[in-house]
Amino acid sequence: MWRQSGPIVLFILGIVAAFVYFANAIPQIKSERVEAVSKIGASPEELVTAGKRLFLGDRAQCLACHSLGEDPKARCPNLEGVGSRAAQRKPGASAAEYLVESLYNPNAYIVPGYPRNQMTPAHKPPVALAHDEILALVVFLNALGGQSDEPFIQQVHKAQEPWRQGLLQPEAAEEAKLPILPGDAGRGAEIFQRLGCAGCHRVGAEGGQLGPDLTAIGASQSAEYILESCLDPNAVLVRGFKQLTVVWTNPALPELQGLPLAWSPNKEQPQTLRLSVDEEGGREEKEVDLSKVAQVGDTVVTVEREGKTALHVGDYVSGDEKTGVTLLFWEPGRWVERHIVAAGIQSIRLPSSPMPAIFGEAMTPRETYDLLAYLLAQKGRR
Amino acid sequence: MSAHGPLRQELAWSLLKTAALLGLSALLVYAVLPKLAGDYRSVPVLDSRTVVWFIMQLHLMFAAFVLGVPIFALIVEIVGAATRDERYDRLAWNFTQLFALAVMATAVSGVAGLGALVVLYPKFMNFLGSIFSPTYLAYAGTIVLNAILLVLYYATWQVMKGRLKWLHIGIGALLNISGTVLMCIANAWTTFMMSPAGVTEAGKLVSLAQAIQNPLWWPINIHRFIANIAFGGALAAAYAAIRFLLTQSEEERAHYDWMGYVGNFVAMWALILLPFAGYYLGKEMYAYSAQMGTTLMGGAFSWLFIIQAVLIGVLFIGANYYMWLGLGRIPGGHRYYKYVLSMEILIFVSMAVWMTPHTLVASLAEARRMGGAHHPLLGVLGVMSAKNTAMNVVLLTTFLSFVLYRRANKQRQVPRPSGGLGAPVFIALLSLFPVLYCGVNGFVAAGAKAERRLPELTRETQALRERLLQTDQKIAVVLNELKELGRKESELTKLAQTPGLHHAAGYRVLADIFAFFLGLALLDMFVTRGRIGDLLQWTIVVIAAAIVVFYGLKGYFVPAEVRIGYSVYQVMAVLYAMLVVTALDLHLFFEAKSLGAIQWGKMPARSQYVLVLLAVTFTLTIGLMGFVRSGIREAWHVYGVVRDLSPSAYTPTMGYGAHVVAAAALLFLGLLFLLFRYGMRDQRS
Repeated sequence: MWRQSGPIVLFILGIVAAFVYFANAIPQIKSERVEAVSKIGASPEELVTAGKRLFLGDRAQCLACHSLGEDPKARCPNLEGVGSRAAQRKPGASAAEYLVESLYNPNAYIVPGYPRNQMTPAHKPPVALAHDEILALVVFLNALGGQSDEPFIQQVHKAQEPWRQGLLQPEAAEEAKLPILPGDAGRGAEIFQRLGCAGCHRVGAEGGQLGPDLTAIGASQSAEYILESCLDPNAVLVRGFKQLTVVWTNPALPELQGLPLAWSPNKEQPQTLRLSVDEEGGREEKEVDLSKVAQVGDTVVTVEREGKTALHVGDYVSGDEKTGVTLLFWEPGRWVERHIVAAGIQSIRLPSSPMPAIFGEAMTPRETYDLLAYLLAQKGRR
Repeated sequence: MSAHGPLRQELAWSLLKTAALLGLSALLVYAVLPKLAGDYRSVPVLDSRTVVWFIMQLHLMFAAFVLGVPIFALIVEIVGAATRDERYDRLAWNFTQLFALAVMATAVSGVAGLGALVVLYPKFMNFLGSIFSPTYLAYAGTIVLNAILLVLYYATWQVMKGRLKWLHIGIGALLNISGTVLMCIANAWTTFMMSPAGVTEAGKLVSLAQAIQNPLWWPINIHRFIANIAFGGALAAAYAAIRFLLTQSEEERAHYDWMGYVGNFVAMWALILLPFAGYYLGKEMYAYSAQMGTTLMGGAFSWLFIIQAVLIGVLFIGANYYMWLGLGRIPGGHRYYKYVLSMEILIFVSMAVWMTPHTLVASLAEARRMGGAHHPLLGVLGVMSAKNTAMNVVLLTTFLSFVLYRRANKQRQVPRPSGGLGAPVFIALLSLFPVLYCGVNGFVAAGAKAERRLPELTRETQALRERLLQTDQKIAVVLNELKELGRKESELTKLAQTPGLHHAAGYRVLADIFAFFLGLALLDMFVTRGRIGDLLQWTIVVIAAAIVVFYGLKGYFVPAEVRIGYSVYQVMAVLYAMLVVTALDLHLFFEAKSLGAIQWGKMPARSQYVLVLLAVTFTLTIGLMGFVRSGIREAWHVYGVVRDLSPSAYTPTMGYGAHVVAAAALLFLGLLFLLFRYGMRDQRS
């Protein structure tokens, strides 16, 4: 019987051999052994190298869905040259902010044409990258078409901070939004003039300088952002256009408040500050000698400790009464970032916008959307 | 296990063996494991991962066999009891002898696998114990119950004939239930490693119930349940085929030919249902983690599915070929030879489409010459739209082979004699499932509701928009209404993304078609008595094929989220066709005139080699699927919870995997061969 089963046994062996042969004939893909955490480094070059290794390796699994070079994949965006377009991808977000958010909260902004829920947050399982690994990835991605230098790395650190502190969660919050409706840009131009917007804002060669230049506002900001700024100017304050408070070295002199027009010779190491101050007769320009200034900034924090009250004036960076406040303080020759701990903070006078919040009572919905259409059409060069 | 000896002795001996193995397992888990320090251990020559893989693969192959065979042994026994045909009872007894022989091998390989895990992965096993230790006792208890029931079922077969037969069948049912429970408990551990639930990100247990009922538990339970039946049937058929080839007796050849046919029949029916279960499993995997789903189908394992397609192709081509060869032993079967070539071409072309890869591993120069990473012609066939279409065509064609085989020696009477409507009506009413499924999705489900709400909400939003743009009131006054408009627009956007929205209309059409033809089928059963049944059958098959092909082609022109839903239309159409055509067949050929008895034993030797081929292919497929199921966890022991930091934390190549699977398959088949050899000798003595 054993001899009779010979052909059957050979047949079975033949089938198995064919299977093994075929399995070895197809492309052999083997993954690398995955390290728990990668070595990162700190310089731009080290970060780019570490980021590239992560991107191409099995730890981050980026290539499972994304691609580089001439290999477009339908599943997720091709990342070739992403550094050159990151700053324009999401209105209102810098390249660093966009790239950081893309990794921590992929569903926050979906590139048009791609489906949602394709990528899990990079700091969560199953990828579970460390924050420094994400930093390296962002620096590498920005280097694809952009410049990943020290200032950029600092921006990434700053954008990452809330995630490192666990203050943010990947799920994007749903907010009630005003709708964006079509309007007539021609009528909007008339409204812009009629309401006196040109008194503070410049469009092209005409207009004031108290508020941000709107010559290219349509190219750099979203419709939602512009609409919100018109109706609620305090929602987002553009840096450099907030009311400043000046405290003198001579305590007898009262505080001065005004809108900054120019820091001379520059903002990084200024010697004088030109302010537009609201006086009884109208607005006046005043030159402030910073050698006589004790403190200057857009935020005033009152702190009481050991029975003594102190005022801290600086430019707002982040924080609140619960977490403490970080301000940028002026010291002769430099700006220094310092954190004021929450204990003892009595009040925080946050910067406010000099733009009056009265336009909601001045315009009908149609006029509002006409104005919006006009502003969205401003895409010219500064 | 001997067929002789008092029941009590059999029971005692079985319990003693069970206790010994359970005792050894308990020693490993509760005495050895707590004393083992460190995360990982290694053995000489082979890496730990390969050792565990090989042993557990062997265990799973035996387990699939001993869980699958009792199911259809029971079904055959029930058929024998209902028809009072002794042949079926003898066949069921043959099947039972087979799996009874393999139970001890299953248990021993399981304990060996446990030992390997405990010794080589102590930290991981401690973690698993911290989650699932209550289930260990349930598992052990069920094993004891299973051992008792097995002895009762096996040892009382001859004694419990006649009046006690249905009691014996009851014991068989309990045996199957306990075996299924065992499988489900073990599946909980396995699927927890793939889709953990009921634990925190740090791995702390929150809910054992959730850990057991994790997202992939039921999909794997269903898939393995059906696959076990298919596997068991195929192995039983292969056993019969080998006996057929080796026997010198005409009478035995006839018996084993029949046994092989029954085994293969069961295997192929289960195989037809497997793609549906596999689709459900894949869908749940994607829903749990898009990343895992992408790794499965588009990443490191994409080429593995090409090999799976080859193996499945062998199964379907082989099964159909066996049936076509079988037409030769049936008087009247030659009437259907004319259909064989067409079906053969359909199946071959469909399998070729299914085996076509989408992404080719090409160098930059090769990709430039092709115009991209995908071949300009074949790349079109490498997508799911084409593969779903191909698979459904194969299922329909295989089903047709069954239908033609079944009616091969029958000449039906027109009009059909009255009576015997129970079975046809019952099966016809089973087709209410696809009718209701389509009906619910077309009229009642979220997608249908969204479809009705969408125009209404669009009108409301439009009217509000126009009113707000025309009002003279200042925006501050109408701000709340403006926000309401924003909310409505947001709702409109979400509504447009409701799952099933784009398919509600399609489901309604399908529900109407299915209900209409079901009505006609019932009309033929109760009124026209077979006069329109033939035409109905062909019409339903043609319509099902048309639905499959139409939506397969349309899938190329719609977005991905719409295309995914089309696969359900295709599956429903095929399922519906199989049910209603079977019902009509039973109805039409009731008391049909026989053109002659099936000449069992009159089969060419190559037909039996096909049965052996199917069994070996099934075995290799089980191993391959085990590789991918385990491998998609990649560098995680428990996906997203317990990282794999062992030296084997990488995915091996397909070639390496094939070596391990092949070795396990050969050892399994070799041991099975010895077990059956021992069983055959014992039978003769």
